[in-house]
Amino acid sequence: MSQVENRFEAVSGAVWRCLGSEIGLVLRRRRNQVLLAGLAALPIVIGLAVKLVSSQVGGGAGLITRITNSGLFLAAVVFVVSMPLFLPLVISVVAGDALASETQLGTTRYAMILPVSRTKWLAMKAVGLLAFVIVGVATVLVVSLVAGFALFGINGMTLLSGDTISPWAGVGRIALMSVYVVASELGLVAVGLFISSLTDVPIVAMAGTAIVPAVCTVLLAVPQLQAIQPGLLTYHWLDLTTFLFAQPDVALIRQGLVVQLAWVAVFGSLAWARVASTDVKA
Amino acid sequence: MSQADDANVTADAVVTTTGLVRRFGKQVAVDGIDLAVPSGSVFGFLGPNGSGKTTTIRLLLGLLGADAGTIQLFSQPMPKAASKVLPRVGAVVEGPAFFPYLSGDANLARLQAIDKTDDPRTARVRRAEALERVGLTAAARKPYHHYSLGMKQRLGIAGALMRPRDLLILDEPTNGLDPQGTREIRNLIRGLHADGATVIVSSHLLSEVEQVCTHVGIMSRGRLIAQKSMDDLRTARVPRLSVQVTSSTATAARKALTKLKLKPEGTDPAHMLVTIGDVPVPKIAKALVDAGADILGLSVEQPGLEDIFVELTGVGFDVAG
Ligand SMILES: Nc1ncnc2c1ncn2[C@@H]1O[C@H](COP(=O)(O)OP(=O)(O)OP(=O)(O)O)[C@@H](O)[C@H]1O
Ligand SMILES: [Mg+2]
Repeated sequence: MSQVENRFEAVSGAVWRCLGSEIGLVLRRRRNQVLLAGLAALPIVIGLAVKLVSSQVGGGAGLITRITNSGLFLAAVVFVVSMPLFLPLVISVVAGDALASETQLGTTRYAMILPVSRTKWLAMKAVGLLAFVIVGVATVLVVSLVAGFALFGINGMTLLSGDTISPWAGVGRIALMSVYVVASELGLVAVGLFISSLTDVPIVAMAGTAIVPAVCTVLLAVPQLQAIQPGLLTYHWLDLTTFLFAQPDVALIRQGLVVQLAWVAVFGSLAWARVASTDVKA
Repeated sequence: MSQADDANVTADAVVTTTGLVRRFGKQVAVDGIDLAVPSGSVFGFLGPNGSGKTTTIRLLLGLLGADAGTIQLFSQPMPKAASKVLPRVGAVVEGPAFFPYLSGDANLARLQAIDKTDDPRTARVRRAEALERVGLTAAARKPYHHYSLGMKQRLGIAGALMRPRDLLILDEPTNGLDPQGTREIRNLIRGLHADGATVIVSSHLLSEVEQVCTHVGIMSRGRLIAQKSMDDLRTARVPRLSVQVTSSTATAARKALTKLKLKPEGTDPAHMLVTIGDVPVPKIAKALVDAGADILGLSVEQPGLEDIFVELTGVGFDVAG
């Protein structure tokens, strides 16, 4: 057969087609869209609540007052509120599902015999998850800004350090904050992929992943564990407030990123070892 | 069954295994099999439930690692040469598997998108052709979870047929298909065979594949107990005589047959099966009439694959524990 020979060659653009397909699969999935809708609802709910409370009480304390002064603060508050719980939960669902659901459906074996290399399989899953995290955080960002402006107006932003910056500079700060939020979830994505590779029951992987940040948060409250706390997944999560100061603490941010990279390195390697070595189940 | 018998086919084999072993815990699911699937054959891979057919197929495709032995596909070692070999292979293993919330067509498109050697310029056309070939064109846009069992099975086969293949491995392809669908799959296999492809088709229903196979391999409890061409198998068959008499004369008939040194078999006393051997049929007929048996039917039968299987294994077609 003459066409046999060139059947082994990769066609051009194959990588992009593959990633596009995977990202499409993640973002078009109805369940994931519901999760994104949930994320989008968060700023609206918080914004309306603040609006109601402030009109009744007439000014409050801390961040809430700041929201009423500048809609930009709504995004900051939403990130701070969703960072410890809501966002990790949503990401755990999608990350835990990533490999386990395909194993459960049996689609993994059909990918393997195309063939798709094990490394590529893991990489495309990771990219799909990253896309979901970015879209999720971007959704929160955009909806927060729109809701904030609509409810509280476009005003300059008075930072926690007391300085006031222009609305555009404020948008810049919030955007930086959202990038840090995305980066802060990378470790969790790697953990989710690893746990997802251990089982063919998606719900187990989802729960297992969601427990990890919760456990980290509990450990942060134990004073005896001070020595290991800086390495915990969640240790630097709330440092995103540093972007609300005139001079953000760059060292702190760097530490936060290093912790995430370390978790990605460890759990990414574990996931790879697992995916590359085991029999394809079911 | 001596493997030396098959030395002539090994030379031109598409699939070869030597001493292939796979264990699950203590259980040996595949127990040292030497498979040789000749190029251009339709290879019926037969055996009862749990005999190790699917496990063998998964080993061939690199989905499982072997505990011992070697595997060659197109004379290249598996799983080492997987990236070179597998594009030439289409397979349905242990039932179809697709995303329930995607349509049949979208599912096939997804397979094409993650296959780096699949040409995107012709992807759509090949998809449509594959769906056409399995008779799913009308249901192409339906979500997969609305498919019937047979439609799912057809989509699985379409997935294997989206590209020209030199080898097709179909694990129980007629599972869940209606008689018409089963016939269509048989015709599909004939068509692939005519195009020069080698087809391995596993089944526990012997009669289903008997008609299309050129070769068979028979598994039993993890062992390959026979591997032959259908022609060899046919010549090896011993014809039997089916004797049907009225029940009141059954005992007399049985006596007459035993007197001729024949061994009547069969569960129904009034319907006996005898291996004829050297005794001429007219002589048997006369003996029966002389004994006063009222003959309802007398015919020479060629045993089917199933009878041969029973002969080979001595156990019948039951699940091994
Ligand atoms: N993942 C597994 N873990 C443990 N045992 C397994 C596994 N897969 C298969 N087995 C065992 O190996 C044996 C062979 O199974 P296999 O699926 O290969 O049979 P089969 O010939 O395909 O049967 P069927 O006709 O029912 O499809 C069975 O006894 C089965 O229980
Ligand atoms: Mg099977």
